[in-house]
Amino acid sequence: MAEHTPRCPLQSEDHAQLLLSYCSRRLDPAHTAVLQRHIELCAACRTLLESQQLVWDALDAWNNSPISRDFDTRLLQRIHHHRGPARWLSSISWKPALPVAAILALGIIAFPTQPNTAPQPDTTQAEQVEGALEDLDMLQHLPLDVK
Amino acid sequence: MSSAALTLALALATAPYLAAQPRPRPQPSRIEKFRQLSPLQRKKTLDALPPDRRKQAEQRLRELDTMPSAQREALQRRYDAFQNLPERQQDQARRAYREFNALPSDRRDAVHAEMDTLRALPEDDRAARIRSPEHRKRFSARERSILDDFAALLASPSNSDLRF
Repeated sequence: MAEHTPRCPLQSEDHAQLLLSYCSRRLDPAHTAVLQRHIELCAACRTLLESQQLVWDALDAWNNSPISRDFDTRLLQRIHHHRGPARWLSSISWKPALPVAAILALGIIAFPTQPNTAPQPDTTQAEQVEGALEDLDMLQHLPLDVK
Repeated sequence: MSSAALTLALALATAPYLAAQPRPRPQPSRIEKFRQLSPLQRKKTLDALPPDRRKQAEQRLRELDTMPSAQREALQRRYDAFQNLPERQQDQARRAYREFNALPSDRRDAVHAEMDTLRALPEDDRAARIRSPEHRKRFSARERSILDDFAALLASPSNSDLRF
């Protein structure tokens, strides 16, 4: 019986692929028959096959969640959303600001701003002091009070 | 009621109120406030003026600082009274003074002497002197304009507050 049994696949890298193909049920019938006979006699191969079988059973039991029809659309939207320069802008509702903007626009039309021709405050104060000093100088030198 | 009658009625109605109004209080003296500033604050304020005007203002401030306190207080009272004159008369005085300062030194002395003379005269005599041929002969048109402005200020009832 031993002569019909191939060398243990675990001892040869070439034959290890046979075990993996057997586990995945992709091994041809002739090799499958030969390997099954060896497994019945080889405890190490049985142990390996049992553990591999657990993995395949688990994979068989795993059910993929169904993909929604708009998955691609939502995915693209989220990618675009994250790439946007100012996400907070899109979260603002501009409708309440429209009446305020309209009032401001009317105000600008009705009361256009005049160019600021007033002198700077410092200059104004200096000129006030200068004017007062000139008045004092005048009152010192012009005999305005009637005798 | 016509508009003229309405105006007259309003004038009659408001006249007693206006007559009873006290004269405007003198404005707080800018100069006194300015004098109370620290030298650094004074300099910072006057630095806003062009150099020549700043120099003149600094010179006037120095004169004011070194003035005896009694003289400064008297000047301050005249200044407050001047502030109460109508704006037109204030401008008239300033114009006359600018013209006066622009005169050559000898003519400035002559005009100033004439001002002293006019100030000492009763109003009628003052007017007669200004109209006299001698006055026209002694003073140029520009000088007479200054003296006319000066006489008008002396004759103004508003000027009474300038008497101290």
